[in-house]
This record gives sequence, C-alpha cells and structure tokens, in this order.
Amino acid sequence: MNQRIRVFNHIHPVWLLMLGISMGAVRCGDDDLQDTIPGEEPEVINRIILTFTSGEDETSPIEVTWEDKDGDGGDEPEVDPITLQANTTYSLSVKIGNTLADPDIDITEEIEEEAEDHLLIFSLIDEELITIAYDDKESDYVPDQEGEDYDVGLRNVVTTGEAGETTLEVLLLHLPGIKTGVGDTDRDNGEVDISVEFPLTVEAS
Amino acid sequence: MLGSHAYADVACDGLLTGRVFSEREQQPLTFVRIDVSPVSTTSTASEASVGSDHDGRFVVESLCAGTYQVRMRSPGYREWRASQVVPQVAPLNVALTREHPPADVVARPETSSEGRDATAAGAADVIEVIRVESSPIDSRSAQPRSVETLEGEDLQVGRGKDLARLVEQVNGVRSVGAGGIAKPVIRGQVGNRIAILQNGVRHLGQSWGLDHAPEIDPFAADRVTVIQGAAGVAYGPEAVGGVIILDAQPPPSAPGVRGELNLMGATNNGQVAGSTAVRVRLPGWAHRWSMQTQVSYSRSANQVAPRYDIDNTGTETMGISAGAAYHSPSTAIDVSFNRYDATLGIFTGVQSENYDRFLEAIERNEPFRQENYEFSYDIDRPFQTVFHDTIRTSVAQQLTQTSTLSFTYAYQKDKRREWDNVPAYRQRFPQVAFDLDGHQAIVKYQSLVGQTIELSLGGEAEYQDSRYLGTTPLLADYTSFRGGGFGLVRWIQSHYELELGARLDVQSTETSKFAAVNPRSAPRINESYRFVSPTLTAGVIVPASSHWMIRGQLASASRMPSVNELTIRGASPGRGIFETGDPDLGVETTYEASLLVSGTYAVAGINVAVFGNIIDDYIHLPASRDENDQQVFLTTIVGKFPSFSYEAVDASFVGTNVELWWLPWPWLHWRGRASLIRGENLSDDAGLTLVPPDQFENRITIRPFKDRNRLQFFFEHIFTRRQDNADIRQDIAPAPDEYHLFNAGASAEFYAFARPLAISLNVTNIGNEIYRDYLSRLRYYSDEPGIDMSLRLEIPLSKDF
Repeated sequence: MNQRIRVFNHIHPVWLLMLGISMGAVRCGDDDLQDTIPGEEPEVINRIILTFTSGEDETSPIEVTWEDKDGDGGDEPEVDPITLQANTTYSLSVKIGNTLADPDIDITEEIEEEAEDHLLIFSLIDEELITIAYDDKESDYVPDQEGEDYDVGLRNVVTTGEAGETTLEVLLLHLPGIKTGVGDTDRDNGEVDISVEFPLTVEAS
Repeated sequence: MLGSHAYADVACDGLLTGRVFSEREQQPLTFVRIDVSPVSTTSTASEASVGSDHDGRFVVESLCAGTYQVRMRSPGYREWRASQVVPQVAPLNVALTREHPPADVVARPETSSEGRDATAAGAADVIEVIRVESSPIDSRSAQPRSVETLEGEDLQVGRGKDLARLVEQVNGVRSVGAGGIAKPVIRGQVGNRIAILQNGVRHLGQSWGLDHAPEIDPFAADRVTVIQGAAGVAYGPEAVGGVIILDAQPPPSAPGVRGELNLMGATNNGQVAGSTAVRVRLPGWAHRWSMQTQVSYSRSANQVAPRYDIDNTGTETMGISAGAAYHSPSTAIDVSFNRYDATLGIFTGVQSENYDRFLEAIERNEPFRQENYEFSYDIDRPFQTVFHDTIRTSVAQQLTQTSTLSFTYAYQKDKRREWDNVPAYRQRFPQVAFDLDGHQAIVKYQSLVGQTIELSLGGEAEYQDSRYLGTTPLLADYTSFRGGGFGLVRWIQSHYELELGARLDVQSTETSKFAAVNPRSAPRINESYRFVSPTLTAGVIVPASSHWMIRGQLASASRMPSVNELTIRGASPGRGIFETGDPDLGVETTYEASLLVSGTYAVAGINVAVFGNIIDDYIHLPASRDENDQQVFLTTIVGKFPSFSYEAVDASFVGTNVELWWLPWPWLHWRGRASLIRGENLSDDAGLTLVPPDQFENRITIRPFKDRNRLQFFFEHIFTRRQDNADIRQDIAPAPDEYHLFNAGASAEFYAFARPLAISLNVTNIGNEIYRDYLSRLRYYSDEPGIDMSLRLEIPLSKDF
C-alpha cells in the first residue's frame, strides 16, 4: 500500500504537467466557429422577381415573384402566376434576392459584377406561346475580359403570340471561366444557382 | 539497468499468468514452453520454465518483483519474446505466429520492428514491453465473436490507405465512400453503428454523413483490430454493428531508441506518403520513462478511371502524435496526443443541384465535363477540411496480484468545414461548419477471481458539445451527456468458456436549431431527449477438439438515435435528395445470434461465421411517399428534390463470412473467401439500401524460396455480384453490374545498411477494368479507378543506450 501512495505522490505533478502541455497544443489549433462563416455573407437565394413592362403601358408593369420564405424544405414556396396579353412586346427584367437575411440582400448586383460567369436561360415547358430574346451583354455590367461579349439575361425582350397556357422555366447558371454563350453547352456545364418554374397564361387581347 | 530498491523488501511471491493462442485461428495452444528469466529484479531470482495447459493457460509462481524476459516456443511456431513486469498489470495473452505457411499469414515478419531488430542484431536482450491494454477486453484474448487483427505485414501493405480501405482486408468488411473519402462497413452496418477506438478511447467525430470519413490517421496505429457483430457491452452503444480498435506501438522496454520510417508511392493517383515514428526509453535512473512521437504526411492527386480522370478527388493529410509514459512494477501512467488534419477533394462530376440534373448525370454514363478533367494535385471546391485532436491520459494501478484498476480521461476536438462550389462572391468562407468537443472518462476494474473467473467492471461518462453553422438549418447544435456502466464475467472451464455481459447507458441530449434558413435572425427551436440503452450478451467458446473451435453469441444491443437522424433538414450533397430527420425516433434494438466455427489442420483450415440480426426500430433513410404511394418531391430555389425521411422500421440482416485455406505444398498457399449478406426491411417487405453485394475472393500466395528474404508473390481475383436485393424505390439509380478485379503483388525483406528493410509492390485492377461499385458514392456519376501500382518500404531504426 505504501508503495502505491509513494508512486502517486511522485507522479501527480509530472502527470499534470504533461497533460497541461498537451492541452496547450490543442488550444493552438483553435479558432472560433462564429468567425468561420460571417453572418453578413449573402449566402442564400430565396426570391426571384420578374418584371414585364409593355411598351404600350409603361406605368403599370406586371411583377411576379417566386419566394421560399422559410428557405429550403418546410413550407412550399409561393409562386405568382404570370399573365400576359397576346401579340404584345414586353421588356423583362430579373431581380434576385435573399429575404432571409435582415435586411434583405439584393443578389442581382453580385450577378452583374460576375456577369461573365453567369447566364440566365428561359425556356417554355409545353407550348411555345412566347419568345424571349436576350437584351443585355456582359459589357453592360462589367468590362469584357473573358471570351466574347456573351448574353447575360437580366434584361430581355418578350414577344407573345397566341393565347394559351404554359410553364416558364428560369435557370440561373454559374459558369466560372467556362461560359461559352451556347445555351445547350452552358446548360450542361453550369452549376445551377436557380431553377424555378412559373405558370404562364397568355390572354387574348 | 538496476533494480528499483524501493521494492527490495517485496516477498518473492509474484505470479505470471496468461494464455497462448495461435494468431490466425485464435485457438489456445497446448504445450507451449514458456521460459522466464530475470532482466532486473529486486533480489536474486531464478529462471523458470512451464508449459501451457490444454486451454493455452500458464502460471509461473514464486517470482520476485521486477522485469523478466519471457520466451515462448512451440514446434511449428515462431519464437515469441517480450519483457514482462512482475507483479503483472494484466494477464499476458500472446498470439503465436506459424513458422511456415499459411504463406500470407506467416510471411508477416515479427509484429514490430523491434522484433526485426532483434533478429538483425542477434541480440537476445532486445525485448518488447507488453502493452497495457486500455480496452476493456484484451483484444487478443479469445472472444465469442469474430475478431481479426491486422498488424505487421498486413498493415504494411495497407500503409497510406485511409482507415476504411485498410480494414477492407478483413473478410466481411467493406467501405462506402467516394474518391478519397471512405467509411467502413461491417456486416452491412456503417457510421453510427460502428465504434472506432483509438488507444482505448472511442473516437468522437462527425460519423453521421455518408461523405464523412473517420477523422483518424492509420499511420499512428501499429495494430488494427476489427470485431464484427454486437460488442456493445465493452465498447458502448455505438458498437451494435462492430468495432475497429487502433493501438499505437508500445515503447521499447530496454533503454534505447526504436522507430521506423514508412514510405509509399502509388501510380494511379500519384500518392506519396511517409510516416516516421521514434520511441525512446530513457537510460539509467529514468528507465521507467518512455516517450514517443510520430509524424505522417500524405498527398495524392485525383484518382484515374480507365477512361477519364475522376476530377478533384485529391487529398492531403497530416498526422502527428506524441506521448510519454511511466511504468513502475505496479503502476502505468501515460499521456498521449494525436492530431489529424486533412483536406479532401470531392468529385466535381457530382452534378446534383436538383433532381433533374441528377437524372441527367445518371443517364449520361460518364461525368459532366469529363473532357476538361486533368490530372492534378490541386484540390478545388468542393472540398472538406477536417481537423481532429485527441488528448488522452490513463493511469493503471495494480491493486493485488490479480486485479487492476484503471482510469482514462480523453478530450477530443473535431472541426469540419465543407467548401461547396459556389459563386465567387461566396467563396471566401466554407458553406458548412461543424465543431465538436467531447470529454470522456472511463474507470475500469479487472480481476481474476480464483483461477476460473475473469471479471471486468467499468463506468463511463461522456459529454459532447456540437455546434453547427451554415447557410441552411441543416443540423441542430447539441449538448449531450451520457453515463454508462458495464459488467463482464467469464467462466473459464476446461471444456468451454462462458462470457456474460450487461451494460446500461443513459443519455440526455439538448438540441437547439434555427427555425428557418438564416441563422442570424431566425428564432431557435429547442428540444430535449432522454434515451436509455441496455445491452446484454451471452457468449460461449468451445474448443471441440485440438482442431476445431466453436464460438457463439446471443446479444441484445441497443443504440440511441443520433442528432442528425433526429434533426437534419437539408439537401444531401452529391446525392440530389432532401433529407428530413424525425424528432420522435427512439432507441433501436438489435437481437443477434452468431456462430463461428474454425477448424485447423496441418495443411488446411476453415473459418465460418454465420450471423443473424433482427433489429426493432431500425433507423434508415427511405424515399418519402404520400398516401397514394407516390414519391414526394420538395421544391427549392434550385429545383425539385426527392424527399427522403428518417424512419424506424423492423429490419433483419442475415449473412455469412467463409474463409478456407489450403497449403498443398510448403511454397503454395491458397485462400478462398466468400462474404454474403441480406438486409430486409421487414415492415415493408423490401430490401434495404447500402447493403454490401456478395463478394468472392481467391488468392494464391507463392513463396518460391524457403527463408530467403521472405520473398513472396500473390495473385488475387475478386468477384463482386450485382446487388439485386436492394429496393429500387429507395434508391435513385439501379445497382451497377457485377465485376471481376484482378490484383497481384510481391513482397520481400532484405538487408541494407545493416537493417532489415521490408518492401512490397502491389498492383490492383491489373486489367484496368471499367466498373462501378454499389457501395461507392461515385457510382451515379463515374467509373471506379483503373490500374494502380503502389510501392511500400519500411525501414526500422534502432539504437541502444
């Protein structure tokens, strides 16, 4: 018994010292979780607004919103239907944002700054009731440096035809250094930042 | 080395007890001659010799306190030598290696470089210190369940691999993963159903995600033990499926320096890896002190499939460990520190921002943009950075000649950062971050009652604090406290051995989670959970004859749901699905029956394991279905995802692992293996997902020259069947086809610079076969890697003071 007590008497300080050195080593590798991902980062997109303005009535644009107010999962997103007049020309502008942050963050500006790495693609599922043509170029937002001066898709011209119902799909693709301006290629290669659908009705005027 | 005079008055009534097994078959060995000679003792001590009994047991009596050299010899087996302190800290359990065949078994050199040094120098006084086992059960002693240990050459040929791929050498063990990230699967169980112990402490990491590999550097271990089946009594509720135990090399027993340098290189992914370890026992008055340090580094570029590069699957890992120990005749104290730091690339062809993209990727049959892939060591987004620190200290105290009390405390810190492929304005930071702090305290008492009863009692306390930060409310923060106690009794009779164990764990978990996406402004939801997890096991070991051994186990083990199963909500990376946890999940309970039969004759042997599990409230992740049995999709800003929800069902797993070996001539060894398992969802009468497909192996090892450089060659064929039992409705793509792989290798030992160097060359997938593997996460997008050649070299280092 005595031996054991002796051993412990001698060992304890040394043992604590060894433990202390090890603890110190761990502390050196420490950083704070809160510093890792700062809160002001505009990380998330949860809203896209399409604004259709017709040449005949510039004062009352049609504004439709796709918004997922509680983010991914949970409640389903709220989607406004689009109603356009037949045989009419509209300008279409796109706004993208994060309303989950406080205050809201306008991500459109970020996309403009990176216009050379982004492309919006509009397509119709079911019937081709409208045509959509790009009305902006990368050089409208930033000095053109990479590749040619490709389309971006934040501003467009929409021409409606006959009346009917269809679905409009909007894709925002991230193409860092790989944008080709060829819709199918970019669609295959891009990372999808947005992929949403709006119900679209074209009414006879 | 002088005796310690503090103990001079100790009477010479010490005992040395233990048991001898054959390493491969884990059979007790009879008539092994055990010689004990003093190295340093308190008074004039004599030598002693005894033989082991029919059960492999031996007792050497009337020993004075001190250090002895123990030699064990038996015809047909390699001589075993080590030093042993009397009084003993724990019974001495020794596995002897066969002198000649089975070639792949025996050709492993002595299990440590110390042993090799001894051979080299012909020095009989170079001895090995007995490990003080920090696991509740000495992993080398016979257990009524399947236990296999990788060490020596088995480890050497796996140097540079990650833990999951290293333990795949064991029959019945597989891995699930992608590229440079993999996690082990034991009898179809993965993640939270597998406990991993490093130096006696359960590893606390982010074990829940399928793309989260264990945060462990296998270079820090020189012995890896795999236990298959429920072993929860000794190892805690996570051990319902199996246990992987990593043990570091013990320090040298004689004053001096021991160590080794391991180097490896591989052609497929251009991996270069190295590890060096140095262990020192101090001379003179400080001879009770030892220290050790080990450093490893590995870097690899992306893997290469036969038709294209598997883009961005490179890795960079670093491991550091250091420790110090004090051993007196009755006390062992040690402190150790381990660090693992890794950057792991994630395959960029994982094109699954939404379900439509995922389906496109599957239909393509080759990755997106594969024509742009280039072989590169660069690791780009997406990637993970992982950091894990462990500090551990333990004190073991001999109470009486036959009982020991030990205490272990460990602190673990785990940090994981996931860097997704996001627009440049979001690239300054990771998208997901997890931090985990864990404290564990373990008390254990082991005693031999009379000559026939071994008793282990233990208590464990564990505290975890986990924080999550990310762009979506993927996972809850949590703190959990767990307390548990266990008892394990073994009756050792002449014709059988019984083991009974019981354990109870109680856990309290508090979770806190953001209600909505933005972590900074949303309100939090707090929940409390209480779980009680009982485990009971009964096992029997029957040496039916000198050739046959039968082992059986009945177990009821339970596991608490993990926090991800309760609270996750988010898109799972790389799989195009949206996962939702279920806060109402309860404890899952496994009822297991297993039987192991091993037979060994001079030139042939067989090992058969048969097991069956019924699991009540088995937690799995199936596709959600609505009331009309239609798959449920969730709409998000990046498109629609199929919804997968955690759910508890009744399940069964039934399987067998068979191994046969035959030695028709001394120079030729054949080994055949089969591993079959079926997993059923009994509630829905359907197959479970992620159950390993059937696998069959044939391996021939040739040793053309007796004893010359231990030169040997092997050829191996592995056939993996298609997994036809999985429920396709729970998966997104059908299982890939069956495939055949051919591997080969050569190894030898030779002397250079007066050292025995071990060298091995391995070639896997010789035919550059194009295949996909059911358990690989790559299978939806890409083929598996093609041909790989790897070269490994181990150089022992030694110097005596």
